[in-house]
Amino acid sequence: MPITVNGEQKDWREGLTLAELMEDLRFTFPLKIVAINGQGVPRDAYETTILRDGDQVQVIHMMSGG
Amino acid sequence: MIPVVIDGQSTEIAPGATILEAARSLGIEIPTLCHEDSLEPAGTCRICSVEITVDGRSRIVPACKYSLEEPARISTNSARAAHARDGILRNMLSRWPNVQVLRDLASRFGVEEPETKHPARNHNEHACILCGLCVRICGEGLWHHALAFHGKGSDRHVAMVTDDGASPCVGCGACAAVCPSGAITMLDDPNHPADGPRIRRAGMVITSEMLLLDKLQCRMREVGTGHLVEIMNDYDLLPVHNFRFGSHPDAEKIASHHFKARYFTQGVADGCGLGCDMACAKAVDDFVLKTGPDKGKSVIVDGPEYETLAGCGANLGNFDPECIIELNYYCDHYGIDTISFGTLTAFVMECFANGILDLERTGGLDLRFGNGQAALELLHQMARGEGFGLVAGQGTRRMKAIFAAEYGADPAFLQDIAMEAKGMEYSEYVTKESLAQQGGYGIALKGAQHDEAWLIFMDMVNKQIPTFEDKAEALHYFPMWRTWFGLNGLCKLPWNDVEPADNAQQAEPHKVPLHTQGYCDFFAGMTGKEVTPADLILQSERVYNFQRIFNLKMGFGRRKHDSIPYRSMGPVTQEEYLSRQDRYDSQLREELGLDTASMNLSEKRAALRKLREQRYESLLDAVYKRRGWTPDGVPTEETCRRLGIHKVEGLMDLIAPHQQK
Ligand code: SF4
Ligand code: SF4
Ligand code: FES
Repeated sequence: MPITVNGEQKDWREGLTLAELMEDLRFTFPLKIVAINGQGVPRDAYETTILRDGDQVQVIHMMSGG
Repeated sequence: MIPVVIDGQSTEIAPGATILEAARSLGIEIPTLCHEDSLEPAGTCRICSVEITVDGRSRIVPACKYSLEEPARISTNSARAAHARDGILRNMLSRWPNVQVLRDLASRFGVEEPETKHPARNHNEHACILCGLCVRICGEGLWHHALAFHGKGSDRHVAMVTDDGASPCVGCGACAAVCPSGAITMLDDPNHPADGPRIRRAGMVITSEMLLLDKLQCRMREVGTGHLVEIMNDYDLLPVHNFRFGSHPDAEKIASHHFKARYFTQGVADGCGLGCDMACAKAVDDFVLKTGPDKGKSVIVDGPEYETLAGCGANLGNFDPECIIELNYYCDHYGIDTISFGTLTAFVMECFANGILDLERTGGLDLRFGNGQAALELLHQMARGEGFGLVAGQGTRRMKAIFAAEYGADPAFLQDIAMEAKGMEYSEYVTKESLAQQGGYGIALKGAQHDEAWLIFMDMVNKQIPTFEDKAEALHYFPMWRTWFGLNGLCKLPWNDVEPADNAQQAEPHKVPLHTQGYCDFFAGMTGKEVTPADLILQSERVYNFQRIFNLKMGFGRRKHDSIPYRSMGPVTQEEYLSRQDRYDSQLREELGLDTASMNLSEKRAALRKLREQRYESLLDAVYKRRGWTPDGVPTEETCRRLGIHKVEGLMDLIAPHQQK
């Protein structure tokens, strides 16, 4: 079962960290909030958070812009 | 992590944290007088003295400044710590016996005023206690450098810096807000607010976020809105070659770090809004112009900001930073808006690429994508009213008519690729994958501007507003909220280009509720009238609906005027479809159940276009309904009565013929 990010299926691989996922998706905007299966992840834990198969990831980008 | 023990309580802290931060995490309160979280610690007053023991050796250090790098034991109340702290306090009391913060600390620690009187004794209850906070916030914090210490010994005091009799003070009030003794008060509040301190308190929230958080968030103080170039490129939202694409491999060449390193002057207040600590208006100093009437002159260029980098840069395929800076300078010099110039020139370049224009028609200007120098020459011609500049200078809407009538171009194709709505050129975001943002541009009263609503992340990336009703709600709330800034003469950026550290934990983080409350405080502090966030929206709604009806009076303001070019909804050309084929094919499969494998490219393009155009119409239906408008986009009589604008003379007569019976 792949993971979902904001409701869309995305590829998953063993050992994938949250930081790597953000990089794969090019989610580079700094003002964002991430939750895995409803649980918020602090910014400094992206590197050490390992995603499990089937995880539901929510990435809320705050607005900014113009 | 480093283990530390403070007053017998153990904790672990990140290396480099100060003793003050570690103590706060345990709920232990250490007194401070010269400390502000948003400033580098100075360690001036020493009231925060504590005893630290590392490797069996003890000493007294200032908690606000001392960073912990190894395991330590700390006491805030040992005999030695108390002796140091109380001695300092006694000394201060002997000099400033009536200052309230000092008296509060004396009673908290049971310290008596000493018998010996300080030679420079000052009985004023708002005496300056020389903590230096005002000097530091004004200088290193806010870059105004209006205050400094003068004199020596007991004559040492804080005073305004003046340069040729003029003070660099902008009256921001930050010094008064941080002063612990009340020595600084604002005497002259030219706008005569009902409650000045309340406004300053609300302002200080933004000030300290800017000083503390901006470097971790948008870096507005370093590069301004330019940071969006790389972000928009990463999210496929940076307009490239007249909005055909959303990213380009060369975009890195105009990324904000180059501007910070090579062009933007750092560490100066910008004077954009006096006392605005966001200071995002960056400038290039000593720029030597290579073209035009000021050729060879060294000038200051105000910018470039994101819209200029995207419009005069990526959208033209021009990734030469100095050419963009020069376009920025001459647009300002001639009084031409960089967005309109960028977008209309991108249209011209696409027409050139399609053979609608050629060297003969442009008078020799080789307006290929990527030719920034030709764009500069076009700008000079527009200003002089010469050559092809005379045509382009009329704007995108008129060019469509001219190219069809005089050059035989296909009007339908021109309509699709000319990025204007209501006659105004689009600002610089690619909206193809965000229906809500298509509405944000199309329904905006003034034309194709994103300043009523910027919903791309909420809609396209976060998928927070999936239904038409969700999108309509966002297209109600945000345009009304942003209109409110205009009504009050405020800039929108401090609302959400910096956010409170705990914004994520709020109920509706995308509205930045803590800042919204700050604006309520600002309004109440200014006028004396208490308001809620809902009241602010209502204020805007009245004006917004009135403006919509004004548009109607001027021959606009109906559904047909909210239409947008197909380029902003989807791929116009084959090349555009193919560049994001997977995305478009999967939409056809998932939303229409089509078997894309058995369809040719033109069938797929036609099916996608039909779907996207229908969705835009459904969006208009939902938004008009949410706003209390008729299906033709005219406010209903009931809406006007609810908002109280029905009393405006002639207004009800104006909308009457447009009501549905
Ligand atoms: S009001 Fe602002 S600019 Fe003026 S002295 Fe105080 S901090 Fe500096
Ligand atoms: S005026 Fe206030 S903030 Fe400035 S040094 Fe004196 S006590 Fe400190
Ligand atoms: S608060 Fe630490 S030295 Fe002043």
